[in-house]
Amino acid sequence: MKKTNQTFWHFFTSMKTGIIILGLIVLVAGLGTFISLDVYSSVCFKLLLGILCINIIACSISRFKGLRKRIHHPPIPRNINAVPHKICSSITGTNDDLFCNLEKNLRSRGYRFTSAETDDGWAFVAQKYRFGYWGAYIVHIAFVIIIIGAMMGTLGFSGGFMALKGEVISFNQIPLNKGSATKDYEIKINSIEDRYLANGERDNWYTNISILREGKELARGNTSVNHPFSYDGVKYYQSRYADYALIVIEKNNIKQEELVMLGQTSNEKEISNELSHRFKQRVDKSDLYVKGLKLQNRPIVYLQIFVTDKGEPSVVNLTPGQNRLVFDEYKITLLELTNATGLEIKSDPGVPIVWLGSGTLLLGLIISFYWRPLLVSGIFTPQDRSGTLLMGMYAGKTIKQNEAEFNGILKELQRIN
Amino acid sequence: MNQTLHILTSAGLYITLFAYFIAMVFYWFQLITKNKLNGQLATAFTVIGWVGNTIILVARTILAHRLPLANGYEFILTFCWGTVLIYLFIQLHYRLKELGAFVMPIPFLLLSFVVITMGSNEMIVQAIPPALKSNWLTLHVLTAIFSYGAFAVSFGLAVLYLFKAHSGTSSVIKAFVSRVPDIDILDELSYKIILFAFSFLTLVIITGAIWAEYAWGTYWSWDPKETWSLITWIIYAVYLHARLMHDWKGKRAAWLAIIGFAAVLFTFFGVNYFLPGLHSYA
Ligand code: HEM
Repeated sequence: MKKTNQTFWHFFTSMKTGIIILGLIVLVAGLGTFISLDVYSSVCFKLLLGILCINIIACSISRFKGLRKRIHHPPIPRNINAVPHKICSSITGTNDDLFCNLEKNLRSRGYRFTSAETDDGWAFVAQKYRFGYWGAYIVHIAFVIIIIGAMMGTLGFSGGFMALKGEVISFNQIPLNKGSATKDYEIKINSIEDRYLANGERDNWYTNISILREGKELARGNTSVNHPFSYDGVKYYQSRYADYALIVIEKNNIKQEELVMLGQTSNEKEISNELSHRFKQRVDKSDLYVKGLKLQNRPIVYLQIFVTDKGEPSVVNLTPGQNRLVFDEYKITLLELTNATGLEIKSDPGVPIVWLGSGTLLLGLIISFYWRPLLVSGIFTPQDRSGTLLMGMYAGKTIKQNEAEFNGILKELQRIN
Repeated sequence: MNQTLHILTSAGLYITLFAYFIAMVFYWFQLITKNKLNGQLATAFTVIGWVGNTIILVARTILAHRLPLANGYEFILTFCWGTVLIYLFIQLHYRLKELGAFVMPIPFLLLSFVVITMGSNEMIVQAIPPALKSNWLTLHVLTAIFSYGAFAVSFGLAVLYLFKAHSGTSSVIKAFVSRVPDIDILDELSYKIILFAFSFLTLVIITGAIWAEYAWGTYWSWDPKETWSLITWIIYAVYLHARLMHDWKGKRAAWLAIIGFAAVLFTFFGVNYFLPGLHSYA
């Protein structure tokens, strides 16, 4: 049993396992972009992420003690074989002078210097940027934090609704496509605007909303694309927009109001072409059908009116308040231009955790890449009145760079001695 | 004024393309002939091309009243600009002219791609939709330039490394790369550049996620471009680990760097041309 446990532990703490799992994730994720299956929410994919998480956690736990020891109590070499040998050199000198110069030199370079006596001489270890060892550690923890944040996303909810200007919607009426939520307030759509800049480019779509409870306003604000409105942990995203014309149709003194959905065009020459692409909307319980277009950024509406048995449709253009007679018997009045907004609502309690993890990840990367620990250690063996110091530096991940640092130390020592 | 700027951008494109081409050819000559003059001419043309590249980008910024980072055409131009800038820095800092022979084909091929495939539609300065008006998106693309540019240079280094590493078997190659620094230096330089690029790629992904959260309300939606940027990120994470594991330095690391850059290119181009997604504009 103990043996299986150990094998298990060994499996999960191995970097090789981690790399293989990372490779599998790449494979599955890559495949997912070519096939139309949603592999990302599959059990198999989540299992891989889960194993990766366990792997990273296990690896971090198993490395914790060793790392602390390496940072706070780096080993002082007890014999010549324990001196790093990839970057290594020896230097001769008198015992005390060498020790003093070495300590002074290393300390002035910012190294933390520790020494101990050996059977016949002394040995030392010196470290600089030692907290850099935590860099990679922080990176891995950060990765786990991000995955936890992502998993917390399943506790959230999302949905959406379309509403006209002035409408009040109870939160609980909003259809949700994920999760569930109840709130005791309503959302009022105060205004909706399709705003343009002076140069004719679209600025953005704006919806001004209020949160109401029993008629009392709890909060009010704008939402536009890229600038969601947020209240009570729920974010409101501007996602759709539609123009409407409220028209009155009058025939034989019978009036009928109708809300006509409008398309938009920026080019007056394209009116008939654009109209041909739109669906006919039937005016409630009548023989009249209508299609509508609005000129972008201007309060002008083009309506195409169809009446059964009357042949070719008739096109009229109207500004609010104007009316026209079509087919000699229908008086069409444009009462007002109005619009509707499509808002998406989202709540994801994992988001702050994901940002925390992202920040931590960046911090860890900076530490791990640009705060490289340096470690020099050596052992002095006396011979007669002088002796030899064998000194080496850990090659680390940047052997050439460390070599240059080591040679600097060495040169200075040789100059003084 | 605008007319002048338009002419400047379209003429600048050909001048830059031409200068990068000449620079590339001179870098090749230099590799073969070892003639110092070729190397100097190569560097001179690289600088001329880069200045041309800068002028296009500045003119476009003035025309559009925003940074030129909004569509594929603008991004390729900025990407070339970043790649050449990082390359020039490495060349001057490490005196590594031979690298140019392997890096300069990248901006040259990309700009050729622009000239051959893109019509005036893409080159016209277009208004950007509200979803793209975001400082996070600007940061996202800016960091991408440095990340991708550095990966491009690391790719050149990996090829140079393999070239030099194989010189033991071929006297011709040996002659080409005799003045190239020791392969261990190339390997370590490549590693350092990848660290830089990896840090920036992490920023690219995070700023992209923050932007997506503001724009769509989901920081991650597994759209193909996102997925491929994550894949690229993981490939380079594997590269970093492989160096620590069984000492996967040298040739194998170089091959991983090449695979990584292939993933960068696929994220950049492949996704747009082969796969559907939200990122259809850049
Ligand atoms: C899957 C399981 C993983 C295992 C078992 C693992 C293990 C390790 C180990 C043992 C180190 C060496 C630490 C040191 O030098 O002090 C390391 C370094 C590192 N790891 Fe991981 N790792 C894993 C996943 C990841 C992931 C997903 C990332 C994502 C970014 C990552 C990023 C890093 C970085 C940036 C370093 C430092 C590399 C360097 O300094 O060159 N690791 N990892």
